[in-house]
Amino acid sequence: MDDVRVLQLLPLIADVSSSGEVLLLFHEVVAGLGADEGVFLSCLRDDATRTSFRSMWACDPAWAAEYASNRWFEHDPWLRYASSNAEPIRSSELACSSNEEVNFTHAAAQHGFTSALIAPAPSPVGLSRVGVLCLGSADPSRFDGENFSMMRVLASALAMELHHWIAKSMREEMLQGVRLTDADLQLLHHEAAGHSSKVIGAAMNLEAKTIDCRFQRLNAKLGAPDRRTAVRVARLYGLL
Amino acid sequence: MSKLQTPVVIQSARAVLARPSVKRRIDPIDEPARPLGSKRSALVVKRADSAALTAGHKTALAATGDSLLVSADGAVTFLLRTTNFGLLMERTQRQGAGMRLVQTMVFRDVKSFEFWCAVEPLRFGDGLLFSKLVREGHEAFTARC
Repeated sequence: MDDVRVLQLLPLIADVSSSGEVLLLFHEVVAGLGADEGVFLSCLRDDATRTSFRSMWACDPAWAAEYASNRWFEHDPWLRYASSNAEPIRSSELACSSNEEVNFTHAAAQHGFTSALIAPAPSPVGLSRVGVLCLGSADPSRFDGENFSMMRVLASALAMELHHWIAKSMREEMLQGVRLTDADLQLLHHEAAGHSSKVIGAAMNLEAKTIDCRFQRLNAKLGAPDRRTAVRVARLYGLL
Repeated sequence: MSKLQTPVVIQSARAVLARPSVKRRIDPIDEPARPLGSKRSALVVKRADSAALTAGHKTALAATGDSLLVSADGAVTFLLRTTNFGLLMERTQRQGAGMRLVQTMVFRDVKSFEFWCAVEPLRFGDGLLFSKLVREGHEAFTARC
């Protein structure tokens, strides 16, 4: 493990602007940590009907294809662990809770994750946004030994850096794609403060019905079923 | 001489804002989202799955020089970008009730790209799109050489 090199590379992640550059750094840090494979998965539960998984794959591309086609994210024990824990753990220490999770573990082993280090990346919004870094190796004892304590610290740092980068890029993508105006953000701020249409209308010198119409357009922009969800989405994406 | 003072006029908006409505509820952000009714969820899913909206949104985000390939049903999109360190691919898959999986990976050489092509599930699902994807991928590597 080249921990000096990893410590040099980690701060660079926040500064790069493109996903290609992040992936390149990810590849280098995975190699620096002495792992053969790496996957970072970020799960964002927008609302009751939408869940977004964003992932970066520095591993066997066949594993990415299989993960998508078999919908492994529904039975991913590593993601489940990250949803309720913050401590890095070896995959061998993690008990599977269903047959599907056992199958997942076997499938992952076939793609270079015979042994794995799981580093959760928690967020201030709890279960609504969770990230997990999986470092894998074909060597069953790669993550054993005295290096493990340093490796888990560096893996946690990498997980958090990647999580921050993805959150930042999702915010920018949302702003770019949805094209929210200042008036939209003002509406969201009012709603987040618990103000009713009448109150917002009085503050903006508009009729309450006008406020309702504006919220309808805003909800459509954000793909939210109602204004409460619109506020939730805006907060999850860091718009408020 | 009257000692009455002119009453101070307070703006109505401020007066109202000082008493925020207690009826409005705010969804807690650190808990699972509030469930919707069946009709409402069906409507939201229908709107979200609108292929036109999807294609328009992604097209807007694709930068100059990027290749954007969309499957016939709009469920899978591929964004290809040639970079200094290889072919960057962003694969977005939408499935059922609002699930979206975005996978970003880099192919550093033709061999790894071909290996991925051999296992990509879309090769059976949308042959036309898949052949275009393979062609564009090879063109990107040829252009780099």
